[in-house]
Amino acid sequence: MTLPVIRITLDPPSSQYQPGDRLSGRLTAEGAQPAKVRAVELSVLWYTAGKGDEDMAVHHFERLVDEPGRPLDLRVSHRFSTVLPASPLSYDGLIVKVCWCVRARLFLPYGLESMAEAPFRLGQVTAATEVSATDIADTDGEGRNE
Amino acid sequence: MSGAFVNLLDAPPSRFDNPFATCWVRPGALAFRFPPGTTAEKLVATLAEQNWRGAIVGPHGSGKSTLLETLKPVLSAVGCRVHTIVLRDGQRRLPPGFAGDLGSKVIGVRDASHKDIIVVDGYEQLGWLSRVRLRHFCRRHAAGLLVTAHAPCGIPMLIQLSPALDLVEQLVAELALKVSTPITKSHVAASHACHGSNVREIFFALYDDHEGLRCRG
Repeated sequence: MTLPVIRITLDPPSSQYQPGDRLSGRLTAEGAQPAKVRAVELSVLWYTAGKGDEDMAVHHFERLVDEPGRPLDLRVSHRFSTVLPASPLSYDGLIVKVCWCVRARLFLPYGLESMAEAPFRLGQVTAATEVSATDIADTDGEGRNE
Repeated sequence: MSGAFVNLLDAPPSRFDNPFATCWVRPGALAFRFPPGTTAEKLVATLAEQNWRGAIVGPHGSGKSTLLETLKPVLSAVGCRVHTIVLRDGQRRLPPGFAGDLGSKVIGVRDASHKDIIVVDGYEQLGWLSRVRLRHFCRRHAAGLLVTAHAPCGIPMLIQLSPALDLVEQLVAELALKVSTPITKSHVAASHACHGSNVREIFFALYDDHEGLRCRG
């Protein structure tokens, strides 16, 4: 069975958002007809990724189900929209990252699943950078000179 | 490991930034690599021959928990009911209510078609009295006992794990298929020389190496 190709398209301006901004977009699944989609779950969520324990939370969730009289046809785009919260802000750290994304999961016959994600950034926290021992020594020296 | 590595610092952060992040390397996420001639089915057959008693022995981070996760579905497929106890942070005693809770599960629904297996991840942390209680419990309820430990522990050994450099290289290559990385074989060799068979620590070190190279572009 060929799995449908999920496409999540975020509306302009970009994948950069601020707290309180409205995030909107559309979801389509190409080739969804041969492999009939039983349900689709769309989430706007954040998760942590890094070296340690992981955390995640779902900010926005919707589930569409294929029902008699209301067939689920994802060849026609499904629109979604939500207002983004104040936190947590995206963070590209060295040990841990806070990642936001729109995630879609398609549930297909025979227990098959297909998933796609569209990452985006919430806020403007500067990415972490490596600091060498020399950099720290230089900074200390500058402090003393002042 | 991958020539297609690109600097993604301008892209939103995601788990695809580092192939050594927890989500890619935790037990169950990365398939256990069996030594040549060994399979999950063979290990379960050996466990049955040992009267369903066996220890997976190996140092920290050598893949014991990953192997347990791999064996569980195979045990279920041969009609075993698996009851797992995970011991962490120097937990020297069995969980409170262990005998009562597990006893009622094991005894309450015992039938000839099923074999109950108590799986203990981190057996070496238990004090001797807790070990005696556990073994007595298993004998009393005719349950099997499969444990992980850092050293031989009085339970017949099922397999001893000691991942070599070539195995770590294979695992890193598999991870690099999912997420591109500037990590080379020399990074892997250096990390293996530093951390030995502790693949978990090797992955931690490679995570840092990857982030460092990523930051430097």
